[in-house]
Amino acid sequence: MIIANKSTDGALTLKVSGQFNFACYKQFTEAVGTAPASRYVVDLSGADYMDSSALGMLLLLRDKVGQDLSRVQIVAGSGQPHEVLKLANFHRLFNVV
Amino acid sequence: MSARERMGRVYVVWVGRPAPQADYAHVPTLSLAMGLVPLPRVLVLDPPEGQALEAWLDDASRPSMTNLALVLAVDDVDLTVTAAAVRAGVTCCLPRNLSSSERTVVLEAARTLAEQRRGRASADEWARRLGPTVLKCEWRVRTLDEAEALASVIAASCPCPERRVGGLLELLINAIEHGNLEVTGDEKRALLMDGRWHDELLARLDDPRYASRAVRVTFERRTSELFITIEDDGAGFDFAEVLRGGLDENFSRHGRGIALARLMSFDDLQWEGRGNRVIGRISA
Repeated sequence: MIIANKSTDGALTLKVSGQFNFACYKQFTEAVGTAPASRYVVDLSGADYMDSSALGMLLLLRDKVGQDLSRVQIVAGSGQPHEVLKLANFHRLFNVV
Repeated sequence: MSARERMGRVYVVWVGRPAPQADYAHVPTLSLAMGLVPLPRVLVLDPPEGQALEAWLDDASRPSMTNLALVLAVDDVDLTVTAAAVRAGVTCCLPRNLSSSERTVVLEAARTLAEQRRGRASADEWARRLGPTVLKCEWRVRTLDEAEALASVIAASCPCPERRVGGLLELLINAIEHGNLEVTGDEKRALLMDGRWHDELLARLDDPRYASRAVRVTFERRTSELFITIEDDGAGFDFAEVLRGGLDENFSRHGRGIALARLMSFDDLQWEGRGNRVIGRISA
């Protein structure tokens, strides 16, 4: 499940809980597509699993912000999502904390 | 919820069969006796006032989480609290301001969830004990539900099962969706976006063009290695082309599922035939 929350400074936080997989695709793309934001934070600290579709969603977000990757921050959390981000070398593509 | 009783600072609904007393020695007996409504095995917990919820969730002296739906009463449904509660073993949260009928819906859902979880826990225990004894096995799957269950079953026969499930599932989903049902990557994205993906998969499973197709999966344990073969009835794909880019490259292009499976779950992946058969190797 994804809960989108826009702060007063224009940052959009997408908080993912449980499984971050293909079933989240619609929620994710709608949240990102309908709410243009100055910054994006994808918070995976509450997620316990992510699959290759989730990696694809993060790349969509990357495409959206173009070259300015400082506008996207991924909170990796721990466990499987953290490991998947590491395996996929997403630390090179994103600001992962 | 007529049969509820507030006892001290613990707010309890015990319903259905008699509570195993050993699990609830600290819960006032009267509370247990009061809650006899037809919703078996649901326990509502109200954290003591003035105590930080996080501390309460960490408190090991709370009632045992086994064999029960535990429902946490909260003032507001907050995602952070819900996530922390679920991690601590609570089945779901129940806002205090719900009407009686709304509460019943939530508690029934919690009971169903807890029963499913209990069924899974029991199956997981059998898989954990028997998984390492499997020498050779063969399956035939068609649906994503079957694929999900099979990924867990095979993983239980492998070292570090939790590392294997994801990769197995990626390969099985590929075989069903892209192999047998011929859904392209672009089609899948569009279907997910429109919310039509699930219906389209069901329709294709019934479509005469695909209805007889299946994914055949074998597991074989040899001296120091495990081999898992997944073969679909689709047209295959140009695996040499996908693999040529290298794993790093594939994470930003196509084949992310394959790259993830290889890095996370397998020591090696080899494709055969027209690309419709993949053999995964795992060192035992």
